[in-house]
Amino acid sequence: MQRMPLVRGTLDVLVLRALNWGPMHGFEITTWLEERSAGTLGVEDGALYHALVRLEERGSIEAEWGETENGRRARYYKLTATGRAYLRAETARWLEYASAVTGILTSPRSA
Amino acid sequence: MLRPRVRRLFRLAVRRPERAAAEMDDEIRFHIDMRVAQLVARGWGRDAATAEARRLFGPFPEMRRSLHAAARRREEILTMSDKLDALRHDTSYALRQTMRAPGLAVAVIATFALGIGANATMFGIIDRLLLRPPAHVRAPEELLRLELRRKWQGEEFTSSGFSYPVYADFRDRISGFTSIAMQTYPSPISLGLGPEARKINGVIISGTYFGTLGTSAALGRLIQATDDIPPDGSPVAVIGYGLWQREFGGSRDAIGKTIALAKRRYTIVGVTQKGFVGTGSEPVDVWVPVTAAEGLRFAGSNWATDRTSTWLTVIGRVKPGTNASALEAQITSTYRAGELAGRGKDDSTAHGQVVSVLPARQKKLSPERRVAALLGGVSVLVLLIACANVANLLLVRAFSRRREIAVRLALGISRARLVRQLVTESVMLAVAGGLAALALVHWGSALVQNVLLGDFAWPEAPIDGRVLAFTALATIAVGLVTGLVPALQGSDPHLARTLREGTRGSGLSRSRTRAALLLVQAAVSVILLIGTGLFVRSLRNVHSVKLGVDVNRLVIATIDLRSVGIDSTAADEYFDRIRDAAAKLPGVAAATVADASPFGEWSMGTDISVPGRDSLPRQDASPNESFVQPNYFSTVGTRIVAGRAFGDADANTGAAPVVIVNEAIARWLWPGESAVGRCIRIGKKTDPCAEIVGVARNTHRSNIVQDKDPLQLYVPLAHVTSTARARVLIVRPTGSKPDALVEPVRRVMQTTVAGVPFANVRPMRASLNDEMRPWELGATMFAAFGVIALVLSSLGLYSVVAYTVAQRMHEMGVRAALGAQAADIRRLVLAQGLRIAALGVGGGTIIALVSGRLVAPMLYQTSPKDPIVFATVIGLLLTVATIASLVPARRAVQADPLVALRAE
Repeated sequence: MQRMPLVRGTLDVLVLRALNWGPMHGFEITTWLEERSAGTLGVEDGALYHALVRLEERGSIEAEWGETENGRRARYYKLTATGRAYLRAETARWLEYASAVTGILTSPRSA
Repeated sequence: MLRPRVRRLFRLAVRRPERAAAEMDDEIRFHIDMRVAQLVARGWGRDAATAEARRLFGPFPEMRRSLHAAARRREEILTMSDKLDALRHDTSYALRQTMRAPGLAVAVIATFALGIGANATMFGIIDRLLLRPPAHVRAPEELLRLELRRKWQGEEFTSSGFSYPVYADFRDRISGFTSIAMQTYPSPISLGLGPEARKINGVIISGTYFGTLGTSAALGRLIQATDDIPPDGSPVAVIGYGLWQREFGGSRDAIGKTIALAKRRYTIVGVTQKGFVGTGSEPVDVWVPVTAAEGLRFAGSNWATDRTSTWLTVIGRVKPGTNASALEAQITSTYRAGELAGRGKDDSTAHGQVVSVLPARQKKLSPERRVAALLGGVSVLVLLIACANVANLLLVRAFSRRREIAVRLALGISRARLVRQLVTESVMLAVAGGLAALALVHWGSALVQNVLLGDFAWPEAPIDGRVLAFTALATIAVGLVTGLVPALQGSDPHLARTLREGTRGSGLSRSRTRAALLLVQAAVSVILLIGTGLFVRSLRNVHSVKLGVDVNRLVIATIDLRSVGIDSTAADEYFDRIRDAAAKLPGVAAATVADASPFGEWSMGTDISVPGRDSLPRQDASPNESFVQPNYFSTVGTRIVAGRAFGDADANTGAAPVVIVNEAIARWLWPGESAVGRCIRIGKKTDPCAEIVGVARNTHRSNIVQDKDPLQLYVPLAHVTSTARARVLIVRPTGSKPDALVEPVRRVMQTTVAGVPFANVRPMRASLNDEMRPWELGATMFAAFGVIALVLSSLGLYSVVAYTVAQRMHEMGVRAALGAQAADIRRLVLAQGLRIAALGVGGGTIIALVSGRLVAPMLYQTSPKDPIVFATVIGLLLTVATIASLVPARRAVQADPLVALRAE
């Protein structure tokens, strides 16, 4: 299947959405996104880490080193209150936008 | 697991950009490993999986580099926000702590507000009086003012006044100046004539004046050399920003309008910058070129050549680095040569006259400035007390919190951070105090300015950039200083021991710090209150001086008729008319005309001789001669102590010459005998002898403070011969309030005859204000600061004694249990407070005695060691200290021996 390029800025929201389930390390987020989108989202793995840096910088997420189940050291990311609020607002905005676009695209052809 | 936010606070030091890059590498490696493992699990070969993992990650070296950069930047930004977080955290912690003891916070803020406010107010005043360079003047340090010094009977006299020909000599012959100009002192000029005439402040200048100062116009152009060409110049005027706003509403149409000043109309060509006052400090409304200033010059019609009237001052601009003594030598020789050629005599050399150059801005301290500078120092003392007090309060609190602090230290908080938190608290309180202080400055400056500084140029608001900057600096400084001492002492790690010792183990050394702070406070309070006492006594002495005339009741009025060309005969007629009109005004008891009034602008001396006596005993000054009307003495309230006052018959033409002398003359010429009926010659030896018909009480002539009574004689006004004599109208109200008469009298003077200029009408009292001001300023401000100091230091003493008592309640209880009487315990606490107070008072008294000569020149008939003042202040302070200690002593007495014993 063809991978779709991502709409600019969408990756950040998707990462936040992923972390809304609980703290994850980078690779967990990657696989989570791949599973949800069935591999349709064209995201380079490196771009995801850029998104993580950006979100941490803005205070939307926090990071700390922890251990995986197999005892490997990994950097865990966690949503902050700011991030949670941002996610809520962006989700609402996206739904509104999407329904507007959908409404136009699916409206019956008129004279 | 610690929450990340909490962890970050402890991790401040480990945030390092290099580390962030290394961590990013760890993270990338982990990701690739996980991806490879995932692919291998799906059946990929290891090498293919590794290649695929890298491909999925992105263009590898570039991606890695850009991720490093991003991670580094993130760490920098987060470090900043961590710091802000810590500050926010400290501040909110400080706020919580403060809210827990709101009373203390209010006390500290009020103390800071008083201390900072007093200093900022004084800074604003001193800045304007002494520090600030003249506004809108280019390179003021290059401007010099010329001053003439000469010796006269062994004493040196200086004067800044020169005649116009001397200025012309300097202008034409001296090469050391890049530019030279003349100006007069600001003086009242009549704007308009008749009922509408108003008084404005004018300066007469040479065409080079504005160029020499290097100032620019706010509107239009300034006066230049081409406006000032003899003989008549161009009738142009430059007006001040203030007049422009008042008279023309700041409209651009003002340029080209004409204004009437005395005889001539002048076209307005420009407006000066806001706040420009030349090199002086008084506001100026108008400048006109000297050649065009017909009727405004303080010299006769031959002003350009007359060397006897010295009515102008000279300023010059020099190149930086000019040798002042060489310049002075050149100016002095030019001056002497000019005077020799112009006057034909060489008394300039004989009297050792030299011209010296001084900075154009007067550095010599006028009495107001001296007092203001002293008060600046005093306000710093007040701030010192305020700081000592706050430090004390915070110290007390740091100790009451020492269990909490010990716990925090034990939990591993660093001492630096603890100190930072405690200092944040004091700085926060200081900032609140600083804001409150600005309100005080706003109010205080207005008060000081209106009540005490008179008509000093004060165009701006009291709070400007410089005052704000000063307040901010002072606030931060006192916040840090008062916070650091208690913070360092309170966070002492050894205090951890208190965890084991309980609250009773109070460090003796701590109370020593507090006692020292209290000592300083008490000493400073003593100094300030003694200052208050000395100034108040001086002021009382000044008020009680018997001046010989009813200064508080009289209104005096002058008018410059000569400036509009009214001659002396017409002037006599005019004054007769306005005197009669004024006498008919409601509320007027009497009106009289004289050639001069006590505390007026003019007084003239004369020589006298006594027939049959070759010489008279030597006197420092010749007698002053006043020409008065018959009702003069009853109007001004000067008593005739022997003989009679003038009668109407004395004024008749052809009447025998009569004179009234004052007691000083009578005592000088006929000590122990009656002067009435004797005869003196006034002026030339050939004049007829005038019979002394009365002796008047001594009066002050121009100063409240005088060494000895001036010699004064009175002659009927009808017999005045010189046309140079001016006229003054003196009005006595029926009541004791002269102010209400000022406007009615002005109206009479400006409307009775058409075409007259502005009449200068004022209560006689106003002439004394300038002389009274330094004492009033000193007494008021010292009193204000002294009371602040007393309140602060008694509060400080109270809080410390009360705190110690609270700490020693247990000990008091034990003492009571062991049989101590209430009186013993009371004595114990009182002794502690009084010991500190007595030491402070003793120290302050010694300092006040030693530094007394600093204030001595500012006092009047008061010794700087005045025993009454000293005794009163010492008594007052000890009383206050007793009261401040008695209150906590009463609590100590109530200590319950049972509680103490049970605790053991």
